[in-house]
Amino acid sequence: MKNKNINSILWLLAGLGLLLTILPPILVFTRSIEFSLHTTLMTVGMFVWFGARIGIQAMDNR
Amino acid sequence: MFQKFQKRLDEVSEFEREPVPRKKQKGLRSFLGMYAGEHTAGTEFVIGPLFVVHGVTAFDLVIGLLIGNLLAVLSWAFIVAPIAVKERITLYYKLEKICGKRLAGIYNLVNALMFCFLAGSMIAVAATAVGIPFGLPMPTLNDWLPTSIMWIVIVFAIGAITTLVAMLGYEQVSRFANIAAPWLILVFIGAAVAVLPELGVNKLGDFWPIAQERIWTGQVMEGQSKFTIWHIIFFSWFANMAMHIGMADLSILRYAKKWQYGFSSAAGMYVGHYIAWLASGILYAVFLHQSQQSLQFAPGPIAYYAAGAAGAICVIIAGWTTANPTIYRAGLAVQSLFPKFKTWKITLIVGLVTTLAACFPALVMKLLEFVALYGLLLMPMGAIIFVDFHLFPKLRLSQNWAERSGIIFNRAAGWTWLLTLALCLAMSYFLGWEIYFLGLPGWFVAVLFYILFGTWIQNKHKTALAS
Repeated sequence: MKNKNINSILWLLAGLGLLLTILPPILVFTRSIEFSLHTTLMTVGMFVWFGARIGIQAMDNR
Repeated sequence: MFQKFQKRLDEVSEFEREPVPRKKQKGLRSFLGMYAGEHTAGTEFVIGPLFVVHGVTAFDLVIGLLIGNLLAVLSWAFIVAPIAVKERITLYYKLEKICGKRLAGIYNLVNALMFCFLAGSMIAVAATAVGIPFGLPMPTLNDWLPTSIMWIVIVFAIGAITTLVAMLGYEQVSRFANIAAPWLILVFIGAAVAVLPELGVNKLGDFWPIAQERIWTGQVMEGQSKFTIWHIIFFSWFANMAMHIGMADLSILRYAKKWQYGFSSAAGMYVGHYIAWLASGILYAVFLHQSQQSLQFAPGPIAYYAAGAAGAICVIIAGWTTANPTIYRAGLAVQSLFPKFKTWKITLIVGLVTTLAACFPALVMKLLEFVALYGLLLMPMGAIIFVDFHLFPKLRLSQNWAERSGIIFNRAAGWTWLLTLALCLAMSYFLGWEIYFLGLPGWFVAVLFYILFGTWIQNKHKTALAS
């Protein structure tokens, strides 16, 4: 049960990572955020996505 | 660690010399993911910009890619997939049955060499991103030779890591590549969307006029040839000619439950070879706009500008995750020629050849020509398999001739391969046809040659037996 919850949280984080990758460019396009913030958020998104997905992989392997 | 890896490799059965059993067949999702991931690679960062360099217009690109990619998907679905699910054996085993062990070995060697160059171009692309923090002077469109010592050092560092991982941890890289695939695609799209305002696109309606005026303007860059819609159609159709018309994907699609899974290649074509090529073209147009038509050609800094660290890492991952299995496959192809050598030793040599090739930026600057050549060289073997499977039974000729007659070199196939390529060379030399257009007439020539030579060889054999 605990593993299942962790797995769900990791999938949520992975989704957030992808959202942080695609949403900032759209917000730059609509001029809602600055360009520098967009590159920072994309980098954060990258870490969140890979962190979560590698975590999911490790759990699956176990 | 190495022994553990080797033990694991020994346990893996890829059904190299037997049909894939029903329980090992895979569902549609595996193929959709595989094709989407495999065709969103480091080279996509080069191909899209090269279309801009060759002065393609927006209409020609958008429509040309739509048609060319559709033709590629149809080739996968109607040429490779039906044979793959009927026979369910690898390309190499099928070639052995038709062409004989020796000719199949020559094919493997040519294939391995092409794999080395392809992986080399991906390492070179990754080097442009790795070099950013070191202030690496980036190559230009006219550079064919290594541009600096630092370029060589960085290429060798990436080549060494890639080769080492290909020797020891291919499976992990394959898993990592699958994880990276959705993110890579979103970085491609996101980076392009973010820089659109710099070209003057402030709302969706602005895109098409700006695309025509500032991105795909139709202006050819200095020293380059002009691309028309025909170039785009044929290039996108034949970019993976070795895989579909050349039948290399027999080895992949033999795991498909139904031949219709060949249509799953659309995921790779329309995500990687449509969206990613358009996106990387947009990024390059922004670079040209800002640098006032600089001749520098380096995907790393362009992606870094548009998406920050995520962009640069995207270039490295896209290049590395595709170069790695390519080196591994090249190693396996060469290993089949020298079965007594250890796989890791062969992979090491293949990695060294790949790294040496990557030192030459020409591999990146001339990537379009190289991709076309790669498909063209291997295409005749696909035509031979097509004739053997579909036409020989109708002509009352024996299939799998090498296996049936116990020969190691099928001269009919050997002559077909050689003469088809010679005729393609002649068409290029005497008629001035560009390499992108040679694949289509070449395929019909190969089909005709194999029917003629196959009939001749088989009749001769029967006459000899009768007398």
